[in-house]
Amino acid sequence: VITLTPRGADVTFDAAGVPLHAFAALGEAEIARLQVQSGNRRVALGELLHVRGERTDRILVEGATPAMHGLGTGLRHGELVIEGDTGDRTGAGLAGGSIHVRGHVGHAAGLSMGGGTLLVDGRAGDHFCAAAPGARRGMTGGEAVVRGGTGRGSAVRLRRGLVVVGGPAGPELARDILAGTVVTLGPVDGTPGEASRRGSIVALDTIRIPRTYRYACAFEPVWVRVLLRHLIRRFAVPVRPEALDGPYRRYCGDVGSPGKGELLVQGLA
Amino acid sequence: MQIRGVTIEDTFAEAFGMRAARVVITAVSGRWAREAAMKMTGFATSVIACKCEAAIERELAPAETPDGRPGVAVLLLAMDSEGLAKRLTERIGQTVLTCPTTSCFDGLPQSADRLDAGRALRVFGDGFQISKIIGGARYWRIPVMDGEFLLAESFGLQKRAIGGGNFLILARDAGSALAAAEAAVDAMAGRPDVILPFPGGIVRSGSKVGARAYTGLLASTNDAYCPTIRPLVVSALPEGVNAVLEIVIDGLSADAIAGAMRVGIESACRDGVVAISAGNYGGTLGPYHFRLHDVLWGAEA
Repeated sequence: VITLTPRGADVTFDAAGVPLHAFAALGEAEIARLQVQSGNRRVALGELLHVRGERTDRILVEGATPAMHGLGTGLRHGELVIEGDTGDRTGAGLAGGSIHVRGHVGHAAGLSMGGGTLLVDGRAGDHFCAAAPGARRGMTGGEAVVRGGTGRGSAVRLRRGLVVVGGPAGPELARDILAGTVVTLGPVDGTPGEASRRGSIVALDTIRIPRTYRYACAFEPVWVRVLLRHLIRRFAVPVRPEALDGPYRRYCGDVGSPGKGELLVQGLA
Repeated sequence: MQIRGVTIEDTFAEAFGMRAARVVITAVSGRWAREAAMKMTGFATSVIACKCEAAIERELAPAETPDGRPGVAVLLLAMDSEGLAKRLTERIGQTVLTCPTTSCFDGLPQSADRLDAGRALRVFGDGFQISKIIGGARYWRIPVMDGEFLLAESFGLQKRAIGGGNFLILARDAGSALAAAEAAVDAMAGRPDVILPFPGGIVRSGSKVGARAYTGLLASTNDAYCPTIRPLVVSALPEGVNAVLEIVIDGLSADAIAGAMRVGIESACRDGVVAISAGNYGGTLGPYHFRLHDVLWGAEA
């Protein structure tokens, strides 16, 4: 394991240009010489962080702070564990491997990710697993789970993949999604799934049904049973028994789009 | 070699390579999972005329299935991958898709070789089907009149499956042969990685390759083991044998077949049985030779 530890409490940097999977081929000194952005200057990583270990794609960041941005950006393989809270764009562009944040993440975590696994034990800020500004597509693959709540605009323009929000989800959830799946275990604020084309939103708690969604039926979707069992097994997501075995109401929408999106709301009332 | 006074002949069962898939069928209850599985495995005793061989491997508890519902594991074997894919598509489409409350999962998810049977069936949804990827596996949700049919897109292919493992029960009378065969089937039932594709797991019409009297016939009666024509042929029946039944075993591996043969033969050695033999064609049909004495190594003698 390569361990990265901040040299002080006021360390600030943006690791967006540092592909952590590349550590698998680098020695300790080479890692320490990598350049990162800190404020308005480029500095060696080793000036900001103690680097211990080399030539592995298993990385532990100790004592992370919200001033550390872009950790795990573009990760392609390996395992990144972050102890503490992190800043913005954690796991943005994640393509493979896994990131586990044992704390909160800032805004735009998992932005436009295309694969791999992002697990956040705490809360996430705005634009969790959303599309980059101006991009037609957001997340295109992988699985992202935040155990706490999220801010505004999670999973916007989701194209493929799975986003799970364990706590309260902020407004504009899953706006303009093309496909993919969003699961909410907590209450959802605002009007979710606006302009959805084919995506699925599975709501296990309260959610407001948009006026542009039409009721279809109540049934027991087997694929949700498979999905929730996967989440329990893989991420220890707490799911109530009635969500596993009970009925769901299905709403089709958004009628302004092709209307092949869906809201599946747990329970009959 | 003898087991409880039954002679184990020094011969071998000759088996051949096949391609196999495992289909896991689940439903709201065990009853409906079994209904679908029984329909799916109907008319699938022998590749000679059925184009595939299939049977229920075992029933699955809810904790063993991907959706937590009661299930049944089915093995389906064919002579080549293309044929297997066609049979899977036909049979899932006509017997599982049609059965109330069922879902259909891949039972060999670790296999790198895949058969896209589910992908072919998705178009039944007429454009309303929905794809979902869960845990790296793609599923299709096909709208049907009782809700949705959930179907794995692809099924793992076992390229080294084996068909035609067998043994023959040579008995003094038909009743003893059937009782011994039933005991063997009961002992083999539910073993992993094997199926017994014939009715009740038992074959009375053992066959030989080709025919004596008719050209072009793929298979004909195994006259050497037919007691009613004993004086007319070169009979393989020992003195006192008046009935023979065969157990045919297909499986995912040679070990699985050998293990099933072992417990089956041991259970078949009972009163009224004279000998246990095996069907082979002199080694010309298939590369897998299960020598009875080797299979029974360690068995109670």
